[in-house]
Amino acid sequence: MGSGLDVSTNTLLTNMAAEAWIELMADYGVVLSVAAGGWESHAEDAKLFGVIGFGGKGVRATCLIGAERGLVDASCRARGRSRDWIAELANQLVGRMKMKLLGHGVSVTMTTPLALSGVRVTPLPRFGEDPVAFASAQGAALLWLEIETDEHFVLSPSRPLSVEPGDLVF
Amino acid sequence: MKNVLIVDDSRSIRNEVTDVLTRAGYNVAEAADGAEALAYLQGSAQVSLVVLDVNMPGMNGLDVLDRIQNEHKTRNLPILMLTTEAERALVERAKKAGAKGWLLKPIKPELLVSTVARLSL
Repeated sequence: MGSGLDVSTNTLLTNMAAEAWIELMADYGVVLSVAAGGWESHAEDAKLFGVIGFGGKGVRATCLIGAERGLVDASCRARGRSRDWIAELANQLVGRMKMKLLGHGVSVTMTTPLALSGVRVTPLPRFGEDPVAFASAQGAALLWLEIETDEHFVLSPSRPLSVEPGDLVF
Repeated sequence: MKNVLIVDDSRSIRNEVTDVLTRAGYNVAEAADGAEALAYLQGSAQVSLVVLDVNMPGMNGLDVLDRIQNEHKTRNLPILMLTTEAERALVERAKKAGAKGWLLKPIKPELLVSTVARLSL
């Protein structure tokens, strides 16, 4: 993973993940929009975080999503616990990311998700791309994607997949 | 009343599937991982269908599928995969191993109920 500082690839993949996060939350009834003001890391309210890794040929990544509890609970349709649900949201987010990457000819495998909680959590990104902050009527959210790529990582021109999230494949 | 087993490491997903299928008239049992699911299926309960996640800690869903299909008692049990994974290789592996359906999350309740009704014994 020698060229982990490829900012343009990081930007492209972060935008892809941000799109997936917005689409996922919309499916669960929450409208997210990118927040100009950034992540309010000093707010005292407890935040929930889901973390999941994925990797494939020439790419290795960690994806963290964070959200205020009100947002997490608003998106949970079942009798769930917030920590469990933020982990499942991370799982579904990277599942969507994986589908988008498949559309570019990239196959990745993903880890199982973990959940954390905390206050005043401040990301310290290693590479060029800052985390993306989101706002919603139910609270703030964060997407932090750290990606390392090398020369083996190639994004082909996008082609649509025949299935979408929520579909019956067979 | 038909019995369905949902296998998923997410309690939220298990709760959602249980709520949807219970409202549709099914009895639903839950397992949080593959080992728990296999132990349940070796018990005395009569199960009409298994709803099975793929990305789970320990044994993943495809390994659980293989184990269910290789056991004499459960080899004819219909399996519906419920997952975020859409990669063709995984889908084909599951189909070849005997899965009867592959449904992508998020759950669409009507589609889940109609698929379970179509596939269950």
